[in-house]
Amino acid sequence: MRARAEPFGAWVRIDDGTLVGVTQAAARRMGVDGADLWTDRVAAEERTRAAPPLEVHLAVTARCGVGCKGCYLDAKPDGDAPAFEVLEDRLARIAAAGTFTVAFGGGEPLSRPDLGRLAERARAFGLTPVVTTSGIGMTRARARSLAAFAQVNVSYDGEGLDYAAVRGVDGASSAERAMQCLREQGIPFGANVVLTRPTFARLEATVCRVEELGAREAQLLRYKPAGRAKDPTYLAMRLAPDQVDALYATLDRLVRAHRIAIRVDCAMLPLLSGGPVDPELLARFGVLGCEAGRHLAALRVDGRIAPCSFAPASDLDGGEAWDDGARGWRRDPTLEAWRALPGIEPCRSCPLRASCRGGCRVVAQHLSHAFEPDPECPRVRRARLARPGQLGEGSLREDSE
Amino acid sequence: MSEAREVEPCPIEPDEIVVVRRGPGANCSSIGSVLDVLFLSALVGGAILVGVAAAFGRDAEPREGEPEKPGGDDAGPG
Repeated sequence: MRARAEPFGAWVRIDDGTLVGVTQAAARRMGVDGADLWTDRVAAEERTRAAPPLEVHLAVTARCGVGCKGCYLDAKPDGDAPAFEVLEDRLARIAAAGTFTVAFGGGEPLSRPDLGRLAERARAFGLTPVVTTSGIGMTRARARSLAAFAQVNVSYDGEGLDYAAVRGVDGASSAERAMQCLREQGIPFGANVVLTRPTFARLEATVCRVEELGAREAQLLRYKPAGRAKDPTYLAMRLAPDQVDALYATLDRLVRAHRIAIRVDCAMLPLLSGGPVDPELLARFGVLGCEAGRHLAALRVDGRIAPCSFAPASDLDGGEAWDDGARGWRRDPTLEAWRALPGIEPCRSCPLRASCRGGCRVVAQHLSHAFEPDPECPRVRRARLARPGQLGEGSLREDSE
Repeated sequence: MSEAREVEPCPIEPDEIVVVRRGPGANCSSIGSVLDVLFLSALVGGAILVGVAAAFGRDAEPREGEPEKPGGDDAGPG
């Protein structure tokens, strides 16, 4: 088991699929020594504010020949692909920072012949590697080579025309073939489904299909305005308000109707604020909202650290972020801005605040050019309708501690 | 030196679990979380915690009393 001391006790990874926060007493019995995290209030508060990431998203290439219209990385056929040794060094630094999971992405990670070897190196460093792929280029042999990954998720926004409606390319059959290859080779896999206005009505059919194909999970992702998706088409592609309002009930039906796990990404959490969500359950079962620059970091192809894969880069290089007591990670102004807990209404009084943390800053930045409460959150929408022009102006940051 | 290190399994009680994140999930752009406990009965959540505690080892040792510490055992991950 891999463990990392924290003010509350310790994070412990008990297997590929389970990360557990335990109390100080339990951590102590495991031989974890929290030192000043357990004895010094200032150190504990600083750690809580800017803990090292639990998960790092590592871009292993910016190369992709598919040309999806909403690619957040703006990947191209001649995109950069760092050398194996460069990525190996980055994996070592990610592991030294105390990270548990590294998610490989791109570009199209399968465009790297050494993808499986990189996963093996991640394992050797104590990390749990996972990867996202379009599935294009997957064969039985390639699938076998991915055995070191804890899970491979294939992007699959729907069958046939639904996939093309989201990505602008006819990739559904390739994605399904990839899932078939993974299934045949016994590689655990899931499907990443981006929710959009044109395809939301067929979400349940998409999840049914994903389950038929043998996926262990369907991960639902909010469409975000980044990269090639950062254009006026975002407004036509994002979920409509009535679809957002129907989201809680839709997820309820999906969870009850399917045996596979239903997972949502961080940006989806604020969209559930209109439903009867129990904040204690969110906290107890580690349902995360915006953890950009905190529990989540992105390490770009150029080596710079970003709060998340959709966010702008910080001034930090991955080679320095976690040196010297992680001073760079804790003090970089970009990371500081993105990780701040919201201090203004309607977030300040929201029962989901501790988990949601103000919603998706990528969306807020795109629509408002500021760190404001997520404008697509139902609670924010209602508050602004009730008091137009009076809410959400200015920074999300706390006025003072 | 790494922030994290390998430790040996050790029995724990369900009430020593502050948070459980199930996964691993796989997404290179945003961080995902399993949602089922929001929609299923409380028994499901309880069963998950018991199962996770069991995965740490069997028959937890009797616990000694622990003094209060800053950010102590009652505080969550934040």
